[in-house]
Amino acid sequence: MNNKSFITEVASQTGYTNKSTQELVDSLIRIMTAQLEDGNSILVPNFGTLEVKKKNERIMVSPMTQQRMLVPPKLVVSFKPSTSVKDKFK
Amino acid sequence: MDTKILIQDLAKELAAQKSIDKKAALAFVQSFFDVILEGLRTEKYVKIKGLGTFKLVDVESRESMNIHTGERFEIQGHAKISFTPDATLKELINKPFAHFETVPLADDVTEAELDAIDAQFEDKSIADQVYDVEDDEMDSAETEISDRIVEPSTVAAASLATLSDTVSKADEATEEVKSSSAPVEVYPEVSYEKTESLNPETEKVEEEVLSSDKPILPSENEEPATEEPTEEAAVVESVSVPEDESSVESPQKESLSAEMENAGEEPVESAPIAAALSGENITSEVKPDEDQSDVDAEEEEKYLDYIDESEEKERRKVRLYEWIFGSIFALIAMGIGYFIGYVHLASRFPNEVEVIVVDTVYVEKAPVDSTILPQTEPVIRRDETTPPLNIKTEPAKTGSQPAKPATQQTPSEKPTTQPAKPAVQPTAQPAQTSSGSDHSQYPQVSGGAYWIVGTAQTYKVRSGETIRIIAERFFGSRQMAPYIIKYNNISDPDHVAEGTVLNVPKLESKKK
Repeated sequence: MNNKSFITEVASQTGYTNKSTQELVDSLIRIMTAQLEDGNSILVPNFGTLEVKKKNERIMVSPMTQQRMLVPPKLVVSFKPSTSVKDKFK
Repeated sequence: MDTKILIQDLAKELAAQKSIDKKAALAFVQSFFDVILEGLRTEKYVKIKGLGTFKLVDVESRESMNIHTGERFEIQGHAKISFTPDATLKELINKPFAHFETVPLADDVTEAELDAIDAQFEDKSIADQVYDVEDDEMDSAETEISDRIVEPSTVAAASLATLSDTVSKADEATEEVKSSSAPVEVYPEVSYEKTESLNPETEKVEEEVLSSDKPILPSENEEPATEEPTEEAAVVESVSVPEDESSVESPQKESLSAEMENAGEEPVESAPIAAALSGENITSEVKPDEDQSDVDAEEEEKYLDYIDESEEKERRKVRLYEWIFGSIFALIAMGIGYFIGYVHLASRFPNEVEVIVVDTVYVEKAPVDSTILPQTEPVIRRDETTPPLNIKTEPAKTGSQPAKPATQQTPSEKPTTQPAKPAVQPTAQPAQTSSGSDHSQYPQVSGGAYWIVGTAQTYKVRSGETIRIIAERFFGSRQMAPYIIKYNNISDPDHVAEGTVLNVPKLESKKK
């Protein structure tokens, strides 16, 4: 399901037009992003948790050249599905 | 910051932004996530622009083992939801660390070196926060710290908060500090490194001082070394507090002057002074940090004013002073304890060395004595007070075999049986004439504070007495026993026979 069909699906469920749905989805994602940037985690019942995790720096060895590289630490968004969702997709 | 956001919160904000009904907004948010699940179920794949891609990934069944029973069992194949954030979201989230780049490592770089670099880097970037951290420590808010350590994801947020404290900082600085991400975590390491780097130098100073002094106590080198770290830890700790320097130095000066008083008597005391010296060394070295923390303190205060927490500030200050004085007392106590322990050591030590030295000395003297002794005894006797030598107990023998050192080496067989009969000492021995005075004709206690210049009186040992008790009677201290032992050439100081007549030496201070 790509973005377009996703918007259509949401629009049909909520009764908004595709255009306004797209706007609403965009602003919702903006809000979520802002929260994640602040380090907050987003809990959605029956869906899961979206949160930011810090990955530590590490040393990576290139399999081609055997060159060792220092990979810097980074922050990533991680999604953890709730148990109910997990069960649903088993 | 590190709070949990529910869909209600999201809906509220959405409603505010899009000026729609809250209920409608909540319904919309709910259906948003529902559709994601719906899409996953039908197509196993949902891509949302600006957020990312949810995918269902099949996990094949595999065999595993129960860790408790060792029983083998199969994990059923199942679907796993994977989420890959959109590139734009990824970048936004990783913004604090965005300036980092993957760098190739030189082949000879070890992980230890990397750690060292890390520590340096953290040291710099968290300089702003060190002050805060110390406050936290003073408040013994260790739990808070451990919290931060345990939850790495919250650390960035935590540093963000402290950043907003130092409002004056520019954005770049913010990023810099933020990127350090785990300042609290690294703090102990940093301080450890500080002490580490300080240690070698102070030890060096000590060694210099030691080598310039003549006493050679083997234990001397060990003692300061063991005591050093704690002392330093105290110093380093206290140093990072502003306006501490002056107060830290003053007790050291005190201890220095205290040392000076006794220095003349006990040359072996150079160690405490060295310790004090190294202490000063440290304070001068760590000055830059102090300056920094000074600046930080100002910033901190500004911030406090800004938030209007003057009460909190007061409390902190009080604790700060308590802390400073505590560390000062600890320093002084350490100095005193060390000094006392040292004097104790010094008093015991001479006995052991003398026992070894005695033999060799008398071997040297032997030929001279034996050749002169037999006939010339009455004539050469110049000094009635010289210590008795057992050579005289068998004058004929020694006279007939003057070159035989064996007879000279047996004074221990009949210790001081004829103490009243003085023997003639060799008048000058090249090895001992360094002082140039007449002290050289008497046995000396090496490392002692007194010259032996003659016999003050004689004393007959009574039942139950030890050399140390006698020393206490005549010199006021048991620690003077080595002088009696040395002067009377007692080979076994622990067993002195009752009725033995001892020459109590007359002492003259080496200190002019």
